[in-house]
Amino acid sequence: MPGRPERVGVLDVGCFSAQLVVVDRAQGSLLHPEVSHKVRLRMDRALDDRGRISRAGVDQLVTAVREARRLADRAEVSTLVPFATSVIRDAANGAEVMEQVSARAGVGLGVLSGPEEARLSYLAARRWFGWSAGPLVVLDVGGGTVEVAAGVAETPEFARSLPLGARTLTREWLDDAATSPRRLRDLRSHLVDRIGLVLPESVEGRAVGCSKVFEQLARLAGARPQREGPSVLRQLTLTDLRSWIPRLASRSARQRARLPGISAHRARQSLAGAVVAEALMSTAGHDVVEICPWSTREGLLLSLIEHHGRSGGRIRVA
Amino acid sequence: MTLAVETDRAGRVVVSVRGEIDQAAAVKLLHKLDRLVAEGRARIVLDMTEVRFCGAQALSALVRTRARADRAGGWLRLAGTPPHVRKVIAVTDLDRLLPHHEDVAAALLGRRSPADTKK
Repeated sequence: MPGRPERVGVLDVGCFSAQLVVVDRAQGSLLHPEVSHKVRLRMDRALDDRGRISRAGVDQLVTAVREARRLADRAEVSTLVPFATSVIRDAANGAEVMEQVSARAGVGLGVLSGPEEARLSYLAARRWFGWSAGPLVVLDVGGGTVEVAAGVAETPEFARSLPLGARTLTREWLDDAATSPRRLRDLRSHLVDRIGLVLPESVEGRAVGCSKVFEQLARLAGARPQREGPSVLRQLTLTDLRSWIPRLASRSARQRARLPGISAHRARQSLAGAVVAEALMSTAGHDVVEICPWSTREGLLLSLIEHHGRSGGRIRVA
Repeated sequence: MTLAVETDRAGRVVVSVRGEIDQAAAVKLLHKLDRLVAEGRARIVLDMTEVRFCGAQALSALVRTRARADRAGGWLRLAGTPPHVRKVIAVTDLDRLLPHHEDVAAALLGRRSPADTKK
């Protein structure tokens, strides 16, 4: 890819969208990207009972990746890092799907390991809140996995990923219909135990919630809406979150989608997202998280911008 | 917060906690309990009789120790927890993981208090 050396891009292919973001290192701001383009995907519907992505799902991916490639070429991007998140990475036929996308769209998707995702979220949160924030505990609830990273420095001292994402838990624990309080308590106890086992001794500092799940929960609990921009202070308290869980549980996915902050396509897994967010906060002992609008994708862009000169412009995505 | 640790002949540990378990104390408590589990002393009774305050960090330390002790084949049991602390544990729905025992003797035997077993 020749292009302009200062133009770098990331293509993030997830469950609900493929998003291309191109930034210019000379301009240098993630808040004002050269290109930000989102194509809607419904990979949640493309998965069959055996966890395989259907042919129609692959077609959706190919169309989205082709379009992103065309836009990246037009923007004269010199370095493009395309990566697939857990919905593709962990699909039963994930490797095969990525090969097909590569052959048909001409773009090879890489994958990030769980700990790598945790490190990138941490970097994004560190840049968002700055050095004055002191020690950070970064919580990121995704569809397939959750990531926890903690530290005081440029890179986290602790970075861990667990297969407890909102989609994963919805599939394994929660039905589409209203969930019984007993089932919820079982899930909650299971999560507190699983998370409690891996947390490091020190999870002190400022707690940060990255990812759409935390953004939407904060909005549900009364934070300012997204249209007011990313720089508004947004928080989510454990008390508010706990009060919303039974209310989410008593509603169907369709009814949840009418609540503030809950988008229709995420409504089904929004309960699981709330339960795991609550378990993460409780187990780490944090009463409040501050919302960071940046996550893995932005962390990857930041590392592309910042390390360009030193590493020859390639970030390794396996 | 002060801690006193006693081990009985069967290798079970009774940790008596006094005072307020605030953020700094919670770190100290977790560190102590982690060390006990790492040393293979994973059957632990926490005597809570003299605890005056228990914050979010303290609950975090308790559930994390419980998970670690459980994996090591042991347990963490709370004994004599005063009503205001029991309330905090119940409100945060952690009473399933941290059940209440009347006193240290009942906790060592694993005999839960009647109010708790009804759930």
